[in-house]
Amino acid sequence: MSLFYNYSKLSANDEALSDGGEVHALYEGIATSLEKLSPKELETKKKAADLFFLNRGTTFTVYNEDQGIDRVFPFDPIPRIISGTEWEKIEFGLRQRIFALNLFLKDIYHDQRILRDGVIPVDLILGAKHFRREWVGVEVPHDIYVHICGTDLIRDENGDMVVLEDNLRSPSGVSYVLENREAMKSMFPEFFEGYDIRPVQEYSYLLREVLEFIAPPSADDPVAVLLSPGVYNSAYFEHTFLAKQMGIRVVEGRDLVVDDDILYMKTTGGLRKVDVVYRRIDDDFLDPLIFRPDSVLGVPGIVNAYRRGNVALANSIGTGVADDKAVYAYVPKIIRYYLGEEPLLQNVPTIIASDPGGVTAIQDQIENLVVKRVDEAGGYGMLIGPHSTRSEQEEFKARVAAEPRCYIAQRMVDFSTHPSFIDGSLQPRRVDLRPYILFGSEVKVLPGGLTRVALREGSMVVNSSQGGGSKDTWVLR
Amino acid sequence: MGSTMKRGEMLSRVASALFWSSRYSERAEHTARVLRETFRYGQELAGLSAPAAMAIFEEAALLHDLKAYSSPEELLSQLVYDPYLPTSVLSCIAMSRENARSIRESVSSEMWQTINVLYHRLTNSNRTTANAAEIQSTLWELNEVFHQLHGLRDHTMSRGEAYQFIRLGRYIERADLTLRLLDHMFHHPALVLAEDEGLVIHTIHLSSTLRMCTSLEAFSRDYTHLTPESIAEFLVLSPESPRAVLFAFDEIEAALHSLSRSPREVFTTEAEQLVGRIVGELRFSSADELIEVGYHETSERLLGKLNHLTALIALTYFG
Repeated sequence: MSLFYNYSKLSANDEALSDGGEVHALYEGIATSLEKLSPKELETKKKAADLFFLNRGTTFTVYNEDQGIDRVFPFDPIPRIISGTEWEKIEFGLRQRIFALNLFLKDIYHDQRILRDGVIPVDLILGAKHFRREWVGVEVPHDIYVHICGTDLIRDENGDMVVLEDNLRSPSGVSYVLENREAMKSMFPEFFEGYDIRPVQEYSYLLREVLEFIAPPSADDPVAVLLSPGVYNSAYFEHTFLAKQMGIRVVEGRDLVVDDDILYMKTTGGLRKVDVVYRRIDDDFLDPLIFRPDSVLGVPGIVNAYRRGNVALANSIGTGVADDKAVYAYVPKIIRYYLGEEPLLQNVPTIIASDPGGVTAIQDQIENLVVKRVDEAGGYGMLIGPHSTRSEQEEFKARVAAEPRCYIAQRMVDFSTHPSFIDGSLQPRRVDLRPYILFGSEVKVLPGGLTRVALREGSMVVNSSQGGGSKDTWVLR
Repeated sequence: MGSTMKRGEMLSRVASALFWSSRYSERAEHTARVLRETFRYGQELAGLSAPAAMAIFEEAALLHDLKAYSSPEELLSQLVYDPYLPTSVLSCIAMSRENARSIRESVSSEMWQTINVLYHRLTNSNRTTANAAEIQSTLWELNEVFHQLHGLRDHTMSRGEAYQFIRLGRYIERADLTLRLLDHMFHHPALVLAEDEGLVIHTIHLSSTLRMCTSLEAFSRDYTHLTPESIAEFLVLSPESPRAVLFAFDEIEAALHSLSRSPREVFTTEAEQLVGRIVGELRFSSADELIEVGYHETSERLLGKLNHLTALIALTYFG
């Protein structure tokens, strides 16, 4: 008897069920494979997968009383399946979005036409936390600002994939996309039977090509490095994983030095020039001479070396202004403004508190809204209206009134669920999808992405910091 | 892209982490082996002389700065599993792993995974209920994992700079540990305590010493008499025994010259000069001389030079 026998819908849409509630055609193969496994066998295999991750060190570290504890990012073995046709739509939408956002960044760091034309309020951009005045007027290689992008999608009540947010600074999680696939192939090879799945393994080669593409033309044999905050960063595993796959070195700020606007790394053979930096630290910490002076993670002088074109950075500086949650609301307008096209992927309708009437609109229906701080990520600083208490709602009403520029609100989307293996049975859990987009000589979208799962029953928050897990994501041919 | 590892281009921080990861791994292996043999030796002695046997455990506790324990089993368990004791086997493995973790892209995945699995295996052990047999079997298991690590290192790593820093760490640590162990065992209070009871335990004492260095069999092939002189000759002055101090210095010298790409006849760094002198001195020393000056003094002098050597290597490569 398949584990699907007792499985039923919780929200408007379930990825594995058709409208009538039967197993969706895409998932029939999985349902058949599951028929051959008892819950107990599946549990054993799931435990083996956890051990697989722990042993390989596919972990993030939680520090507690100066004892580092390695945690495995919870893995759910039931893969998420996306048809080739649907993926094509998603891919086109993501391409359109990254082109437009990139043109937008070029514009606001140069002529600011979009502001002068009154499409977006000036204050919204110039007052954004991640807008970098220091970067206005600076040329970046090939006019590309965002080389690596992770865009979070959810499926709404109508069955459409909509954009929840863009991550344009240094999106993480792609190593789990690759490692989840490895774990599935090792632990659940029988699930693959009958499926024609697009591979994800090429990601590191594609990323390497991007880094090579943006290198200064003067460097004929460019040296690229990955700049990491170091071993205590929770994404450190990913840093070493990607560097190893690309055959480049992981460096920390203390390994680098700038002399006469040239970036060098300190090696056993003396200083060696660096041409490209895939940086996994935020602008704020990148260069104590330009941004936060107390940063010890960064490299003094690296921004000027970049400005002079002696080294390239991926992503560029100041990209965070475009993933500000208030600016997000304007992305459909941004797409129309620069590309003259209608957006292929819709946003979740958003109320900007700083817009005229915005504060009142939010306060009046706060119990139905999700209220978010514009400059926060990771599921922090937010209120889920329908799941909140009266006093929490009052607190957020006051916060929104006090700092309208810092808040937006969205209606609560009853986003789709996916069967997850929990306590010996399949249970519906909310999922999102973060595809990864690379922008070098051309735009490449990795077929698949990170499907995150809100593992707690009834939870709408998929972030790993809030009890989320992940699963392998299959895009079919 | 020019990101392939070229010679002389390793990050100084990475070189240092490789060196220390290797030292801690060598120390963990040595500690596990010595504990295993200490326990065995202590049990063996117990039948002959209770005070001498007690001295074996007490000295082991003293060496690790451990104050309280209720039984040899508990002592052993603490020396293996105590995460708060900096010299425990677990602590050494944790340090080796932590160093390797900061340079995961520079060691082979197989090596990293082996040490990582080992670390989790030890941290997940339930040490409160561990009995002597379990600890012994853990120690034997550790022994195998370390052999596996040696095999992986030799069969998965190319002989570039990374390998040479690992080699340096391993042999500096080994020379250090062997010198200290011999000093400790040659002047062990158990010998005196047994003598007070009219017992001569030199044979089992010295053969245990050799076992602690996995050298009993190799030694027995070359020597018929177990004396401090013959052991010193074998474990300090042998250019052939991989556990010997001279052998270790030979390896250190080879690694340093491989890093600087200079022939061994000349020196290009102060570290090479110092190690060349030590090798020369040891090559032309005899065991009688070592013991005559007093092994303790000789050992102290060599340990001082080892420390100086480590400082010179750090100055040249880790700066």
